[in-house]
Amino acid sequence: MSYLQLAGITKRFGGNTVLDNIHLSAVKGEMITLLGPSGCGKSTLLRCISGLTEIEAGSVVLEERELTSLAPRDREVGMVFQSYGLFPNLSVSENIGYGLKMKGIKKEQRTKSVNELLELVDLSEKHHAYPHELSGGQQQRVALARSLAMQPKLMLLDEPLSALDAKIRKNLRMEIRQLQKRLMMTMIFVTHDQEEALMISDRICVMRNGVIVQEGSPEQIYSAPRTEFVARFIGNYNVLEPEQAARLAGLAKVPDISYAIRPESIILLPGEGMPSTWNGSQEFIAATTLSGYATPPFSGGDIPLYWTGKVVSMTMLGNILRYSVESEGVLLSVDILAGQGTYRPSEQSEVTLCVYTSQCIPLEKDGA
Amino acid sequence: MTRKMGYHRILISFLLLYLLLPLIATALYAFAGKWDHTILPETWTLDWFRQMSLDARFLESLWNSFYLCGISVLLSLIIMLPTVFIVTVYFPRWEFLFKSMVILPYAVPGIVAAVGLIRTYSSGPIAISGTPYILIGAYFVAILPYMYQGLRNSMLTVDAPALLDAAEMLGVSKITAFRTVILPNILPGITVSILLSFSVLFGEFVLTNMLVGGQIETVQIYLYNRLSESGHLASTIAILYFSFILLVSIGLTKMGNFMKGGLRL
Repeated sequence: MSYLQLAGITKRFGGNTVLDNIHLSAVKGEMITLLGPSGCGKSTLLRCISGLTEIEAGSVVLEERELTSLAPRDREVGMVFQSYGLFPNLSVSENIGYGLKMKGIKKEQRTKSVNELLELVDLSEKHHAYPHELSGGQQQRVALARSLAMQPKLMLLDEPLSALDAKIRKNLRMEIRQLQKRLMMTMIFVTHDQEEALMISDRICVMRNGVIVQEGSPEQIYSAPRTEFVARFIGNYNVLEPEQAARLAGLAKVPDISYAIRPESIILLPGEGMPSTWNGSQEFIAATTLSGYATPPFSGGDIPLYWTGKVVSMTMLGNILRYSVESEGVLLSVDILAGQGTYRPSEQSEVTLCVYTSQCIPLEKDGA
Repeated sequence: MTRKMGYHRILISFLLLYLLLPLIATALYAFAGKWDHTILPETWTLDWFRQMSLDARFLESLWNSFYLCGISVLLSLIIMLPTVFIVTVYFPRWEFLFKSMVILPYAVPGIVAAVGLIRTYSSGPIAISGTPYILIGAYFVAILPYMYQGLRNSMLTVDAPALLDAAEMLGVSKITAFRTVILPNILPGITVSILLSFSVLFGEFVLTNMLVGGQIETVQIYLYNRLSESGHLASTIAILYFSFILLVSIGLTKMGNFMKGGLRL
């Protein structure tokens, strides 16, 4: 049995079903991210695991111990909040030592633990400071150390970085990830930031309307979004509605599903005309490969599809250039690595777009 | 620039003089011996204060005021502190009920409330008209707005629900969390509420006079009764009363600054 096992977690607020029969399991030392837009139930799920919110149905089992009916204080679960939740009347050291003190740990031993934790989060010189004297990032580190002091079996982080500014957020998320790996801590991390989720997780659960819509490694989630919602949420995917796909690929019959194409998998070629290798059978190939996602790709392997378009705008994003190209009435994002040798069309120029059929990801219907 | 500053200063000085003149006059009168046809008193004396301190009636009225206000504020605190905490943390949707309830003391004029209370409690199962009990009950209602707003604001300022969650996740019960985390952090707020309520009740006259005026003498009623007898004595009481309120106000201001300084205890 897994280290953490959530089965059939259901939560309603009034008539609203906020969590609908959630199943999730984790192995020890795993970093799981709950990713989703606000209101998808990810924070509620976290609060249900912690016991701060009661559940209507389902069970929470941690290390073969049933937690469902236990009070939060008996669950051996730690939690870090978006608003830090530090005690303003206590110093940094006192905040970190609070749980140990309440547990009746002797002062000497407590001081030792607190000092170790201060070292761990790199705040030794701030031990006398009060929360309001610290920056947001430092406050969140104190909160993290305070939770770690209790040596929880599971650590829950509820958008811990959302209140911080971009630079501190990036540093702290790497620190949290390193800390988690070093301590082999099982963590569940809630965020609405897909970049954050991709960077720090072992596994991502994308949530929507109280349901986990897709679960997998960052690699899987990014390269193979299963539904339109995930494709749109996870990044800058070009999502082609069925009729748009038909128009672009020149299909006679409109397919019954949408397709996602990553901006970086579209290749821009100069000019309006098709390259010389083009043999004129595009319609046949496209029709064969795009008609049904259930069947494996065209047996001939990866087939390039070509269509023409016009550059609408170009944005410089540091190491990549993001083009907005209009083709057949569809606006497509195209990312090109900024570097020597790449073709960089200027705005308003006519271009040919090329995509391999393997890069057209068929999407399941969302239902909603 | 300087001219303008001067103009402002003069205006403010006049305003201050206008506000303070009655007070200064009262103070002078409290210390005055012979004062007939001069601008300032001819002789000074502490006799009025001596008479005052020897007057058993005054001391008794002072004691009455203290214990009636004290009990009312304490009772209000005992009931309102847990109530406000529970509503703020667990039932924020009920807050509208409290908000409308605490406006009542403003909406119902003192005299109307007094008449209603006397009618209701002069006979029947709870005949407490004219006793300290009815006054404590009325006082409780009178200070509801101050207690409720003060306590609620301090709980929201420290984000009591979040602190409670954090403490619970660190392995303590709700009650321990309240005692060790919430209470120390809202203590300045509680103190301000207590002082404010106390000083409001100490100066209350209409309700007190109507409800128990004939039976119990508080400082305000004593002052009113002595006003016709001796201006000097009345002035002395007024000055004492004012000094007391001044001390409370200074305390309140200090508390306010203290809270701004980071809520440390």
